[in-house]
Amino acid sequence: MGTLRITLVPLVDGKPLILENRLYHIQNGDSLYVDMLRFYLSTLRLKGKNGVVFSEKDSYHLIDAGEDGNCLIALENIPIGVYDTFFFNVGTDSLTNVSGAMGGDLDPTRGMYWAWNTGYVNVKIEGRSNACNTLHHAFTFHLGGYMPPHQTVRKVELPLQNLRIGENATTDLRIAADLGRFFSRLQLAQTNSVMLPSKQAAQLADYFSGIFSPE
Amino acid sequence: MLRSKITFIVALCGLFLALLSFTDVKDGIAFVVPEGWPAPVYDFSKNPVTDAGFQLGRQLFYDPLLSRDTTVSCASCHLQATGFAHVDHALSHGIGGRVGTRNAPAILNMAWSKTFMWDGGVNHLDMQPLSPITSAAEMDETMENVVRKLNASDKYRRLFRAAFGDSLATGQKTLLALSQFVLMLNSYNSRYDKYIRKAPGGEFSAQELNGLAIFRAHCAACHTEPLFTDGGFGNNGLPVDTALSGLRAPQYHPKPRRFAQIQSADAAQHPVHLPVHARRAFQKTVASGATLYPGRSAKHNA
Repeated sequence: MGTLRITLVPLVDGKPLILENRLYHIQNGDSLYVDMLRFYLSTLRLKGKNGVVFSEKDSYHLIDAGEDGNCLIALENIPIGVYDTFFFNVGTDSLTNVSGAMGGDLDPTRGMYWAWNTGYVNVKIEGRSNACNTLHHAFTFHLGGYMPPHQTVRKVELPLQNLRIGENATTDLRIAADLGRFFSRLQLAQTNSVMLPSKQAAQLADYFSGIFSPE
Repeated sequence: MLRSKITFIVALCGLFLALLSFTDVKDGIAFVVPEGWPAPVYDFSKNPVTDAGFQLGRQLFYDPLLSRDTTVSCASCHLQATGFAHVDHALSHGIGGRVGTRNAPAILNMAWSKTFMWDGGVNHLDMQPLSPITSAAEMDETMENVVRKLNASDKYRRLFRAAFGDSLATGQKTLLALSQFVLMLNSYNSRYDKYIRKAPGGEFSAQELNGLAIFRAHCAACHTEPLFTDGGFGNNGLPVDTALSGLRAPQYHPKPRRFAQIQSADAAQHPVHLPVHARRAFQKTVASGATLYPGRSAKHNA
């Protein structure tokens, strides 16, 4: 059995994400500051070449670019071997959304829960851009919704370069989360405020699920 | 010698504690499905009701600490004396005299409810308290701050340890304890229930029996016995009150809502009686994104 230490590396167009104080110029012409990036990763799984599958139990992780140590996930007790695929969900599945009060990263005090219309916010991206004709030029994306037709949980599958888990050893895996890939799919002048389960939220969830790649 | 004395005292204390806990179980809180009632919706295996959990939930329910300025508790609007409903007010009011956009519904038989709030926006009893706690017109507080205040209180740290074996308050445990209290507010000892059970005190007069027959013929299709609700939603057939629309936060209610949850007879203390129509029509309308208009859709108006 070994341990896999996964580090999420938030980026914007390949540059490290620095919240609040750094202006980023996106390829689509938008310039923006990012003030908040928080999202759930759940149901983490590894698949090995020999067919071995490792699934983490109670697998829910709140990733927060603004909190030290909250971009780190340790998967423990993984059978030794070579793994070639990493699967995870961005967001929380529908069962989690209808199961009442949960603890840990799913505790409603973590600020990722809608009170007035039950359900988890799967992804929060907030920031400012002069392209936004809004109060303080703010853009706010709270992506959530678990009911058809506007579910926002997304499955992601990443190929790994022969990831070796050794006995009593810790292996490192760095996953880039590049927000440039998200922002380049939209124009902030048109799309800057999505805070309800909707067709638009589902579309943005599609975009967001495409920001991950092994570093 | 001293050692054996200590052992003896410890054993005696153990016996005493065992008797005490036996007494607790005998006199304790336990959720029982009343005879003839359907199986509850609430999953008690995830949150079994215990004495200590119920007591913690009860303290929380009556504690204005849950509101931002410590002036309003759950019981401020859910008044025990009136079946945990808010009488004498068309709209319930929160901290600083702020007036809300709804009347607080009665709390009873919650274990059988699938959805909560007038519009059914909340899908689980555990999560329901988040709405009044965080609503600006009600308690205007955050769960994060509620938990901070609870952890700063010796009394609550004791109560949380008794209820959950750990003195640390969390959002999850706070909500689970509130559920444990609320789940015990049930109506199965009304005169109607005694009548159904043929128990003493359940005698109906000839006129009351007539009333029951009329009710069963004309009302019970939606106000289904023994809970007097089918948990569905009805269009009350009334036009949107523009004064009320002005009050409510538009981002929360992007479309006019004309639907309200069908309430049990015991809870019908709110000022507006709710005519109902079939749940299927409601779902169809919601799915189509259209708005229902009174007269064309409301069953009672047809």
